[in-house]
Amino acid sequence: MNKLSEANCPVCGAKIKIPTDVELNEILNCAECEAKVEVIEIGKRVKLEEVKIEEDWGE
Amino acid sequence: MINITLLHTGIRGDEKLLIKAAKFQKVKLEILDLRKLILNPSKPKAFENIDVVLDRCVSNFKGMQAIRFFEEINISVINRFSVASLCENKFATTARLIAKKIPIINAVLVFGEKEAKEAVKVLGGYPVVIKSTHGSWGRLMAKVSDEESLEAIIEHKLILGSPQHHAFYMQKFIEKPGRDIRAFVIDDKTICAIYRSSPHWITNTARGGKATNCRVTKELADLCRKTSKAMGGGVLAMDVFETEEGLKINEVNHTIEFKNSEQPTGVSISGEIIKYCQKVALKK
Repeated sequence: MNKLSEANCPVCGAKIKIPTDVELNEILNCAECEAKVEVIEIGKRVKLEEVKIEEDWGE
Repeated sequence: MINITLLHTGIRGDEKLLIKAAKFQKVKLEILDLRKLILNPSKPKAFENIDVVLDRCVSNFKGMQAIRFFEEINISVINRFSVASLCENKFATTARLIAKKIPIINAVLVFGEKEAKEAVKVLGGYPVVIKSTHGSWGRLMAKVSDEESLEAIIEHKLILGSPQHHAFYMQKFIEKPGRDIRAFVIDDKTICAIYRSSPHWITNTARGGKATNCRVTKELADLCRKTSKAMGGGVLAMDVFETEEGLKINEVNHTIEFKNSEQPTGVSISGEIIKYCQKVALKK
């Protein structure tokens, strides 16, 4: 199990759990508001940005 | 050392598994965010260290541009543009597989309401399924049970939709046994498969379908091998329906998602993809 840290959801402000093996540009889900957020900076703090699902997303 | 470049527009759980698999196999995997690149055909040397590009773009449109670019500057891409362009277009998939006499759910393409009503008769009557030729994750699909619904759906698409939504891919509706099959096919071989079960007629795991292991039978492996060859090979995921006439292909996907399938199948799909990338790179 990965050790988790937290960052605030840029949409609703709730805490989002960040896994220790987090990758730059990783897409995470906010459990509170269900927004998709992207990790845009990893450093002392993890910075998140909301991402909108576009029509051409998928397989 | 081989340089595999994972091209993305956002890292999902699938890409994290690929990164871990490359580390495990001690393969160099470069992570490249397509959104940050300038694709300049006049400067191909900017990418000369790449042996093979693994397209993992969740944005299909951006990914297709990149595949085209990298192939034009003589860098191998998984999957090739010819394969991806068939897979991304449901009607192109249908036309190719019917031409190759591979069992597939019957479908037609029309552009207007009158023709759509005629198409229902061609498909054997209601219910039918209307989809966009492009799209994924079970979105913008409608099961149409009567003519009034058909008229309403087409009116909405014609008025509200972009030109892409003014082409109606119409499929015969298939009663499924509460599930369909998702087969993972690499280099024409079915490495594993899952059942996607749901009480809803849309069984995509992106829409809540539950994944359990599906044994790869000879019938499934044969169908998937023939389908893979017909589409041009590579790394593919095939949606297969169990029908009264046997197994039939529904769709073929070219930027496959598998994060929910490694655990139930016990197969490292990510590991197999990385191995295939090495094989393609060494063929250069």
